[in-house]
Amino acid sequence: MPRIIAQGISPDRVRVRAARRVVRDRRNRVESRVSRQAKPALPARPSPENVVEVDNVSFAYDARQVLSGISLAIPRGRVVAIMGGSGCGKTTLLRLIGGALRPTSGEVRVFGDSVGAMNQEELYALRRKLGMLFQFGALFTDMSSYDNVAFQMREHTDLPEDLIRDLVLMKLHAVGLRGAAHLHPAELSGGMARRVALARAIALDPQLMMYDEPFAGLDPISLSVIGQLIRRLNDALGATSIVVTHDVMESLKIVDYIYFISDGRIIAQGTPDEIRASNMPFVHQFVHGEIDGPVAFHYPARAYRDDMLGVQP
Amino acid sequence: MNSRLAALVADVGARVVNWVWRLGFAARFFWLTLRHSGTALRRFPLTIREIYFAGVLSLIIILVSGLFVGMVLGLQGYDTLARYGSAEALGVLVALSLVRELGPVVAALLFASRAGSAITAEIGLMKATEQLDAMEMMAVDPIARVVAPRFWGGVISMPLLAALFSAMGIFGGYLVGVVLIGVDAGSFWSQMQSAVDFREDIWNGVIKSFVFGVVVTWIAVFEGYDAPPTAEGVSGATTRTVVTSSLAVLGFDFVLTALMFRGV
Amino acid sequence: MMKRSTLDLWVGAFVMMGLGALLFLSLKVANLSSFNGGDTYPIYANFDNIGGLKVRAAVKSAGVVVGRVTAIEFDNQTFEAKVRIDVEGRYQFPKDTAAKILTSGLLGDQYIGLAAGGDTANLRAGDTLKITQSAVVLENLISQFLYSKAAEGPEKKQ
Repeated sequence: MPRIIAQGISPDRVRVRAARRVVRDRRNRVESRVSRQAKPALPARPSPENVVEVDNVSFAYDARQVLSGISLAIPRGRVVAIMGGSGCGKTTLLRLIGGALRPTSGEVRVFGDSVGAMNQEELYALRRKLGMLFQFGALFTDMSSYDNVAFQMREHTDLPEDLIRDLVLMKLHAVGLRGAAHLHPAELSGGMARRVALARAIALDPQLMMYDEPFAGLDPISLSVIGQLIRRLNDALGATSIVVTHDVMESLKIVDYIYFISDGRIIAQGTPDEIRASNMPFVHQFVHGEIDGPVAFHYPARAYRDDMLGVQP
Repeated sequence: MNSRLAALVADVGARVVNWVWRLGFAARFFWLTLRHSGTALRRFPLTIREIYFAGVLSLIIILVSGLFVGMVLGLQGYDTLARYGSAEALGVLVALSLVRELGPVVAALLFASRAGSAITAEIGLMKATEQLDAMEMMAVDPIARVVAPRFWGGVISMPLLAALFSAMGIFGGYLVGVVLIGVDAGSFWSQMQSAVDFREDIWNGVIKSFVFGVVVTWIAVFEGYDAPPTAEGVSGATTRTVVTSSLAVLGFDFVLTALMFRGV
Repeated sequence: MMKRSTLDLWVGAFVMMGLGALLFLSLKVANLSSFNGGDTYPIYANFDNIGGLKVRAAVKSAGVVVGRVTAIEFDNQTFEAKVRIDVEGRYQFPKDTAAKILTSGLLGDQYIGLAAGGDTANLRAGDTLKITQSAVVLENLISQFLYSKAAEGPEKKQ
């Protein structure tokens, strides 16, 4: 049910409330356009249930509240982006879905099972169906690209070594790095390392892929390569993908749906077209990279004049 | 003044509480490591790799240090013993001090600074670059796959290194005492043989070096695993490994010596 | 895979060196080969005074180590020290063998010396040696010497 909503109460409450009015006015129009589109790009799925359901989840590290009351659902086969500024809790959300963290309240369900209630064994059983690409690849530095991709196959299966070899070369071929199989991570460029890490993440054909900042620190070419790979692998594997990123332009090209998170809340969501067309101040600022807006350029401070004149508060 | 004192007390208290906390965590970590050692022992090539990094790469420093420590013992021991006209007892002096004390202790100190720091840095770096997280997300337990093999590699290497250190040291003492100074070779060896007891001296030395191996490697893997995932965090953890494990080795040495040699 | 086999070679060499060092310490340094713990038989000896004799002290005959002291107890009936000696099985001694507590060098370790007698029957496990000589206690020796000097002194004057 794609629609733009404004749920969050950001520090700039007033502006968000104003935005909410604007959004409300536009909602009907947007919904009619979305239903017309009906995702012709996606193949029809036999079971359109949600792979990931996040139900009113809050999370806090000790005293610091990171997520407060997030709800979202990710249907099978989609590529969904979770966007927001640095430190807004995007990565925390991924860790909650992967079971590395447990929510303070609320429930995270993956393939219908509650992740927070799982013990170690159930968690590991779940993770065999997940693939995750870490921010800088997180390749094992003491192994070659080949061994990195073969890692999970050797750990989790009893496949003979020649079969593993064929599989590894297939995966590396899929990311275009079959020729780099013998190289160690230190000998790879940033973009190549990211692609090897991607090959490693899809080694066991996961049903759910998670990408943590897949575009961070890449040159424009590697960036589009990774972006296209995310889309193509998702469709080829019949998987579902979650992309956590703050790279708006690239993700708008490849994803089906976008959630915006700010201050631990979802403040906006919609398809790429809706997001592009959105007049909501935060989204507009984020998409167009404006310096000032709901996210202020200045850290909260006393009045400039008072500081300069040395007026005591 | 009063508030400053209160702050000081609070600071000391916080440090103590933090220390006890870490110790408890380290104990739980030790237990986890032992419980997840199945992989390290079943897939022994993993452990062999770590024996290479902990043991083989420490060989040079252990052998050279052992030789020199033995040579110095030979010189100093001869100087002292000659005053009492019992230079033939040089073999006893060199062998007993090496086998009982210097072998296990100095080898463990060298091991802590050579292999222990490397283990901490390696695990800390794997943590800082999210390799451990990645492993966990691939449903592979990093304690079983990364920590346990390093732990066992260190525990297996340490007694062997200590024995090599002692043997090299006795050879060094022989070089200086017999070859250089001219103490009678026969009495050098025979007095040594009649004074050194297998169970009392050699075997206790092996037990000591085994305990030191456990302690040093445990501290090393724990500091690496517990390191803050930043460059400063890893370098701080590496320093802490060397300092903590050196102190722990000396402390344990006192306790073990008191237990083992009190009756003799 | 190439790398793994060279690594194995190194580790194998390292373990062999380490075990070799242990073997060297056991055989060459502690002389384990000449004293294999299993094959011994116990005999006992009572002494008035054992001086500084300790458990695990050497037991020698004709200067050769033939066994070890394995226990020292105080006998409540005879008020003597009861010393248990484990003699190596390959050495046999006559029944009237004498045991002395001796000192290696002036201030060295104390050990037990066994002097064989002429009996045709040999000692068996659990036998007690009849003839023993206690340790020479340096303080007693000095005081004896002083007393005898003191006793001599006045006679010479006369």
